Amino acid sequence: MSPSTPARSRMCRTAVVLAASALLAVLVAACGSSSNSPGTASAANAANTSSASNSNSGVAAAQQVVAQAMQRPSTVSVTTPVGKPVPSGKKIVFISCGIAVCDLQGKIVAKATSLLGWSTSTIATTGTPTSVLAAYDTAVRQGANAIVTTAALRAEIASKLPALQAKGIVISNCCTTDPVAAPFIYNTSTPAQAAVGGKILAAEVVADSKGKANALYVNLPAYSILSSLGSTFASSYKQYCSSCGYASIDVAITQLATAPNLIVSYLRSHPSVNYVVLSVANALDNGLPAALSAAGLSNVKIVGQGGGPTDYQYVASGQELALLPFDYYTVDYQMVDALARHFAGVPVQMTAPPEWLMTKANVPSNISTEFPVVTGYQSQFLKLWGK
Amino acid sequence: MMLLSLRWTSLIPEHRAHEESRLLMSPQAAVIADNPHLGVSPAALRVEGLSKTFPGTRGLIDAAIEIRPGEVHALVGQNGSGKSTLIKTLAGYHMPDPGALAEIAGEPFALGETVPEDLRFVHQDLGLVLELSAMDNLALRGGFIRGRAGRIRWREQERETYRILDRFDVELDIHRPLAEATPVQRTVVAIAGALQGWHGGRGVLVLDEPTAVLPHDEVERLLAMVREVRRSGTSVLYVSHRLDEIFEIADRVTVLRAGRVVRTLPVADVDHRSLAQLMVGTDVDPDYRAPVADRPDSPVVLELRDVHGRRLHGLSLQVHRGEILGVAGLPGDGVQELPYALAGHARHPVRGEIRLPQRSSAWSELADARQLGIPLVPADRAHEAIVSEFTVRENLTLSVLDRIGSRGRLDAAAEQGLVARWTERLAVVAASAEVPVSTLSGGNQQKVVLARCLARDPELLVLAEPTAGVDVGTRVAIYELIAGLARDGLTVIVSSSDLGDLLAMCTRIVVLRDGRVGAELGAEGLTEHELVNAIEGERSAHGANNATQ
Amino acid sequence: MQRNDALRPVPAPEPGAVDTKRPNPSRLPMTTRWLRGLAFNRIGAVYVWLGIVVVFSIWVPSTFPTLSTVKQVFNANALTALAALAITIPLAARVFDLSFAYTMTLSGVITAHFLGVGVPLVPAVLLGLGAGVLIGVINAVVVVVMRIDSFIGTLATGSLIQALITMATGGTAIISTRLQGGFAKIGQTNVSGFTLPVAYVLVVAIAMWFLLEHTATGRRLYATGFNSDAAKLAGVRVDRLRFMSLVVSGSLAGAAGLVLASTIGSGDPSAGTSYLLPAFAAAFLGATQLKHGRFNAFGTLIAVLLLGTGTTGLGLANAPQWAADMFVGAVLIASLAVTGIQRRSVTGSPGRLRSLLQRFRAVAG
Repeated sequence: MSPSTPARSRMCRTAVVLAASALLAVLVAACGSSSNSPGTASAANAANTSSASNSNSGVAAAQQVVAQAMQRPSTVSVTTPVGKPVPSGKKIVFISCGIAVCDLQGKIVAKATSLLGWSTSTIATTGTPTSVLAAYDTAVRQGANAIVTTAALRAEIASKLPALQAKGIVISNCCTTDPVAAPFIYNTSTPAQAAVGGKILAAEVVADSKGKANALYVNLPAYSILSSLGSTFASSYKQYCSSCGYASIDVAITQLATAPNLIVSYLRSHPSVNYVVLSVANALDNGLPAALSAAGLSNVKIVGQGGGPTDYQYVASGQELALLPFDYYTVDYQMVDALARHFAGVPVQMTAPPEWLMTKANVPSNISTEFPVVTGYQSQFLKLWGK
Repeated sequence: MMLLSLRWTSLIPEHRAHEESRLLMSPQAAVIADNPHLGVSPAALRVEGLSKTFPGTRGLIDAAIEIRPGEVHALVGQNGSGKSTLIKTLAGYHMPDPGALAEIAGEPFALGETVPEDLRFVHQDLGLVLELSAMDNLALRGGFIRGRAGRIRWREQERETYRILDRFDVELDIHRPLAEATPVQRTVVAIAGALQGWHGGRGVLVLDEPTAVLPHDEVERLLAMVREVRRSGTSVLYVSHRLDEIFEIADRVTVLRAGRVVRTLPVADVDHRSLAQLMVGTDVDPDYRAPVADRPDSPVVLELRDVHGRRLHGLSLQVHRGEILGVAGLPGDGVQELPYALAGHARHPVRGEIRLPQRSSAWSELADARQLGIPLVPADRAHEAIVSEFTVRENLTLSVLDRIGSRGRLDAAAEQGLVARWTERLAVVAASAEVPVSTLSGGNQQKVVLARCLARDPELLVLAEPTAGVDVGTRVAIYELIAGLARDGLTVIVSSSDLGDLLAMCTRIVVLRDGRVGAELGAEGLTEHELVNAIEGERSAHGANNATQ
Repeated sequence: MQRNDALRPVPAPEPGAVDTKRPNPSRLPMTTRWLRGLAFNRIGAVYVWLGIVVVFSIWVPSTFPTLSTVKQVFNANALTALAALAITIPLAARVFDLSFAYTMTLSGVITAHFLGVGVPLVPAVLLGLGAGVLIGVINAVVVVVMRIDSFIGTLATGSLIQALITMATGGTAIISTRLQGGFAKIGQTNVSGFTLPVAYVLVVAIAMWFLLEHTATGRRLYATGFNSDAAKLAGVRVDRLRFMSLVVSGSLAGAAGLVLASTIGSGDPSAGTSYLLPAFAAAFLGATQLKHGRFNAFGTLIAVLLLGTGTTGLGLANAPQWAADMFVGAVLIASLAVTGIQRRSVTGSPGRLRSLLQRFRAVAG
């Protein structure tokens, strides 16, 4: 188009350099992959070098765990009655994380406290640290006696703790990695308790495959509470079936939308994998069954922790094998129960949330919303509270 | 680049360099160079061997220019002759081809890389922040006077601002945003800003089309300012399309044509006609009058009744077929508003009635004039007419897309045919119809806009400022084209602040005053003097008042 | 990629006064037109894409260079492509539709809701599509009639739509066994490895290409986008085109939302949000491809393909979790730089930095 000028060829060079830099980014990623997740690819080979007797006993143990886990719990884990009258007229503040299930939890907490003769106000946040901190200020100003919240981290709200303690405000919490220490009085779904889920999922995979599983565990490193779930899954899995293949991948929180594509990519490069284990089902599996079937991978079975209506529907229709639904109702009542004991002056019981393995065989009829796993949770707590 | 300049100065002794530059000059110029008053000290600015190659074209070919201390040096040339390339290279926007040499007051500098402190520019858009006051604009360039902790000392700043503006004899509220100032006031601020920090007459001030946006009656004030700058000893490189100004203000003139310097010569040695000839290269008459006959007896094709708008207050008008009606007047008298109102694109609400008797005897609301589809060549080509991202072809056919192909589908062959016909008819000079329209010169862009309007086969055409930023040669081509179309029955309404336009092609001129027709002049034998008198003569005080509003 | 000028045949003399220094491309021989079409400055992204394909083919030779990968890339990115195509027409007219992602969510939720309460498939789908059209009309009223800047105006309507969705659904996904039946076929039907959405993308892209390239409306849309004042004075009905462009984007977003809901099998109250930024990234990268500076259908597809191939390849290679974001950022800059630098050198503007500065000044001033 024009004669070559020095300026132009300089620009050509720059263009080439820039194009090369894009490729370099890919190569950097390649180096990162080999150092970051060691051994992801090697595990599959182990599957063929197994001894039959070992795997048989492991499968039997797994089957037993599965059979037990599939029994839907009918009683809540708190068993000791409060024993003293629970003072009424307490003011409770629920600090919501801002997403739909947190709002649901706010309603459950409000219902539970009203049964105790307490009032509850909900402070909505957007989940950002600043809005959460502001919510604690608001709670203090509103004259709260106690705060109920989810996944609060001590370090994140450290600046607000003196004010809370000065006013004697206590926090009932769930789903955090922190140990319980004042002003926190309660935590459920602790890492240790969440680990049980890992064991159940491992048993389900081994039992369903009859010892012929090759599983991919999909982790969300953004949630540190999940690490015990992942490690317990891995250890239990090996325990039930030492010959089964295992690998794990990390999904960044920014990549959730493309998680199905990421999983399909992994499965295509590792065709022997026949189980996908999701650390947070509802975050990772939107459209995953469709993506698997489009890629001709419909033989791969999906199990996972957590879930919502979309995921429950996947189980009901057989697109996913099994889920561990989270019982928001019972957990919230447990948190309120801890406050009841605190205000009544009796020791708080540290209790685990109900665990239940939901498969197509035992899926409830109404799964269009979140539901309580323990159906009689409310009357049971009322009895414990002496109401 | 830098290396070259150094080598050049070290090899050529001072006096040799001067002799060489004299050789480059025309004989007349050499005579002046010998004048002891002007010629002894080194040139204020000297550029030699300047070429600039763009892909496909050469913007400048071995150009040379020398500006002496304390002279006003005009730079003229048609659009596309390389004027703006030269200015932009001096201002550091373009990197010249290797081999160019430049020095300012004897000091060599690297063209395209550095811009010497003693070379300052007032570009056509003035480079002012209109939202800020004159004081702020001057301080943005010259620096704020600061006290401790960086606090601006406003009282001193104010005094400094008055001191800077003092020499130009201008009344201006230095605290009001420049958006409220008149064009000439803004130009003053821009020039004063450019001169800041120079003491005792030095350096070269480049004025790029300073009068392009000024109304006719304010040009004189600007020229007075330029004289004031020269009086202090500063040299001025004055770029303009308006030859009158050059004869009024410049000492010498350099003519560019097709990227080459044709001549540099004292203004006293040329007249209007010979200068225009140098620019165009062929015999061109700047006082050209298109051969159009007055047609009072032909049928009326457009009638306006009691038109009101922002500036129009009860205008009524009749236009006959084949007429080229000029609309003149001072700014504020509605000259700019009328063409847009006719096309149905007035910026402010208008009321009044319009009728095209040849189509229908019914009057319709002027506010709905868009329905009539009267094509308009807008005043501001860059913003209102040209889609600069589009090719010549796409620009040309924008108004007639519904006639190319069927049911919305464009027929590429039909479109190319149409474009070829019109570019040929209007002699559009372009590398091809597929190049971006922005690569064309202003005059050729204007031809494309004209073609866009004419392709609709209109019976009526409205032109606003049809030759703004159009060079002399193309200007005459446009006059001839319009005149030819009028002879074939096209009716044309021209509103222009350039009286040359009106005199050159109109058959009849209406002068607007206070938003209605104040005077009507037959163009036959009309002189510029008579026209100016009609526009401002009787009530110049009132007019000036209006213009500054 | 300096093209050898010797390859170019001498152009045939052309009739008319049009100067023939540079020949009219539409009249050039086929091979030359192809060469010109393959120029770096027209399809810089394609060259970057080819480079990525080569790298991945060497890196993961067993799985990347296969037909299955092609299918996976197409299937996984069909929805992003649909979303990006939805905003291409308004962008051509320089109108932003930031609400399209929420419109996607809305149409999915509405269809899922009506299917859930027993409305037959076809009316339920039509209701979902109708919601998209309605949102388009509302956007158009806000932007064109009320004269609110489209960027902030559609941000506002998008926010309102999301509020409505959350209000109506309580934030939980709408599910129903009826979403598994005929409705699932819309997004999940598989024809020899390719899902139906890939076909939708092709149909929409071809229709859009025809509209923008070969109709008067398309030319007027571009004119509106580049210089609306000039377009208006040239007789283009600018407001009507902008109105229409927003209705089109609303409708297409509605359709994309339906496909999305069909793919995930529920009416998820936040399903569309994740498409907002990828769609704009693809549309803007696409505007630098094929047609200089013009938002166009196939440029958008090239961009989606480029970004999608990379993320899929990184998945196949088990790259760490940060790789995908890094890839998207690096590729956007590289592709735009390759295309942009070449173009500036062709148009003969000054240095890169300086022209950037000039642009900044133009924006700031």
